[in-house]
Amino acid sequence: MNTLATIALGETVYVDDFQGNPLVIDRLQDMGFIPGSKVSLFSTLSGTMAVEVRGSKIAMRKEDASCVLIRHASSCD
Amino acid sequence: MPPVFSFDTPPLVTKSKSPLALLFVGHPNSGKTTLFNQFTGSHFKTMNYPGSTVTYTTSTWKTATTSVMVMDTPGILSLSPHSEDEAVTIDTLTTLHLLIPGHTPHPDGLVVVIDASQPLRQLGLLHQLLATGLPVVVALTMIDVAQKRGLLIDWKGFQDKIDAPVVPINGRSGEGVQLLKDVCMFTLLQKKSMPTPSIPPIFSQAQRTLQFGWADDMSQAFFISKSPSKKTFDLDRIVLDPIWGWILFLGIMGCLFWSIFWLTAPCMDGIAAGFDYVGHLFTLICPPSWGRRLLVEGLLPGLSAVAVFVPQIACLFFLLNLLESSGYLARGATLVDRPLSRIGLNGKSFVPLLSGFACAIPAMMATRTITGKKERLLTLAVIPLMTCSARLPVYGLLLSNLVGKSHPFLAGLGMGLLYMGSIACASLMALVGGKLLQLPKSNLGFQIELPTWHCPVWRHVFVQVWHQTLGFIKKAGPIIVVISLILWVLSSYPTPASSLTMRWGPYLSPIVAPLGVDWRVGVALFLSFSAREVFVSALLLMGVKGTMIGTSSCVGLLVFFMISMQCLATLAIAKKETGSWRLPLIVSLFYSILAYILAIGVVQFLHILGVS
Repeated sequence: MNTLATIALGETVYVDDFQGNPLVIDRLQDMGFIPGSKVSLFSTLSGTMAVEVRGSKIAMRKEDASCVLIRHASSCD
Repeated sequence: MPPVFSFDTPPLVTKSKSPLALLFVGHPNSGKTTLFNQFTGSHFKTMNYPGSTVTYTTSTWKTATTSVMVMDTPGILSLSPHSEDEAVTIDTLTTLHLLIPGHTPHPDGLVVVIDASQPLRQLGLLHQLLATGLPVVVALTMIDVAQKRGLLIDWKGFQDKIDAPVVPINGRSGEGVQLLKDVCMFTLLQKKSMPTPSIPPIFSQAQRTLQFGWADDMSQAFFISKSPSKKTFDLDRIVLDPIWGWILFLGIMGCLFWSIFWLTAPCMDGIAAGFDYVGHLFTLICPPSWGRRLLVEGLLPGLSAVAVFVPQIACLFFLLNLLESSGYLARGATLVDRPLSRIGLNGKSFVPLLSGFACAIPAMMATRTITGKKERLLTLAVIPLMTCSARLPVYGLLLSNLVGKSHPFLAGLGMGLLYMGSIACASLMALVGGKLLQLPKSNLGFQIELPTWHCPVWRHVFVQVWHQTLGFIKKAGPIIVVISLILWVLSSYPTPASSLTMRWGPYLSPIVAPLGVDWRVGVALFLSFSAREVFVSALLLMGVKGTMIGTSSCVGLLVFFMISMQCLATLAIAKKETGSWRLPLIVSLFYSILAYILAIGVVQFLHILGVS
């Protein structure tokens, strides 16, 4: 299963589910990462990355991003 | 039109036993504190240090009939807190009676501040707050940004839908603030006996999906995307680029510190010369008396020592505010998260550490945004090593001694080395401290919102700088003046030759002799443990000219001041932030002893090399 940490620069994906550290998942959900949310990657650094979700920009560690499981197309499409 | 209500800052005077409490709640960066300032018309009690609002702020709103306590709270993402500052907000919502004795556990009304340009994310919190059953007034900020993004906001429709008043606010012009006041007063006064609010401690994924689903529906219906937002150039492509981002980061940090020295130098010279001139004037005009000596030898040098570095502090506060209000600090934190995590810190430590270059006190308060306990304690422990502004006059004096007035470039280089040294020291201490601290490694990771780029609102920046600088003068000024006066009395009575310092000072000789300085420098060092900047005025008072300190001793003293923990105010804040005296005292003692040993090492090493 693909995680948010593996997507390419400029790619747009949808949140599907979560795995791993419950504290990080809790935080990410509060920040707007909810199953179905559209996410696009606009910057990747060593160790951290920055994505756009629900109209705002969020930066996080790549290991945090690996808690987010993604799918490549919205289920409605 | 005359204002309907008037505001007063504390003291709080109320006729009724318990004042009504109105809380400002919202996401971080939603424009909450700006709105709070406009709402209360005062900046006096606002502690908006770089980073965020980390504690609640109150202001009293008095009208003819009633008195309302208006409170600004730290930004939250949801009602389940993740860090110390967010927990403060939850406390004001659920256990207000502990903060305001005599009040009910819950506030009487909420102003929920929503950034209108980000409805998809911020309306989720509104859903949670509406569900508590507390009376809610919604304030929509950043209307101008939303319009620029092509959003058409049907706030009247939204108001009918959620059955709570909605007021659009223009943060820059202040338009809408008066309406918000009227609406709030109306809501507070018509408050019926409400059911006990329910605040769930934790939300499930299903509940969150519901909340954000609601946010999606509301956005679609009332925050209508009129035109697809224009594709403009995104600054983050450069700022968060793996290469250009770092070049820019180093450039900005370099400029920050460079401008602190070079921009403010003429100002500082001017102030010093001004105080000298006033001193000469008094000497010329007044007949010799103890009063004149008190003024010229005691009070004026003390005042001058504070006044001289006010320009540097104001400059630093100004630049930090500029970076904060533009939105750069969150980007900086993202860049340095990787290197900081290597030494056991976190990207969120960046803002506190950077503020530490101005003053450790606001820096320590800013650590409340750090989610991991261990990372927060480590950040608190290394903040005193940051080159705070109180060190600058000491460095200035010792460096001008070392390289002479005619080599500003060398002095700048020395200053640069001292900054690098303090950063290296802090990194080392964080590594060592991480090993010693018996706490599990925090696994909360690092997530941060990157706020929309903003052109700073100059008026807000200047007002902040003014209040922060004034706050610093009020904090540092009295200590220095009092210590200068005490020192003057100790060194002048009964006569300068047989004074207390003359009799007791020489006992400090054995302690400071390894540093290659005499006991008078020892007295100044001893006094500087109350506040570092006291060192300069103490030397002046004791008649020690900078040139009387040898080259090796100057270097040794620079090393000492770089590491040693000499600030009572910092110690008190550290106690407050960590909850006990234990850690602050251990760390302070460790730094001071380490500084002393290293300074002796450097002096003796230089002696061996043949440096006087």
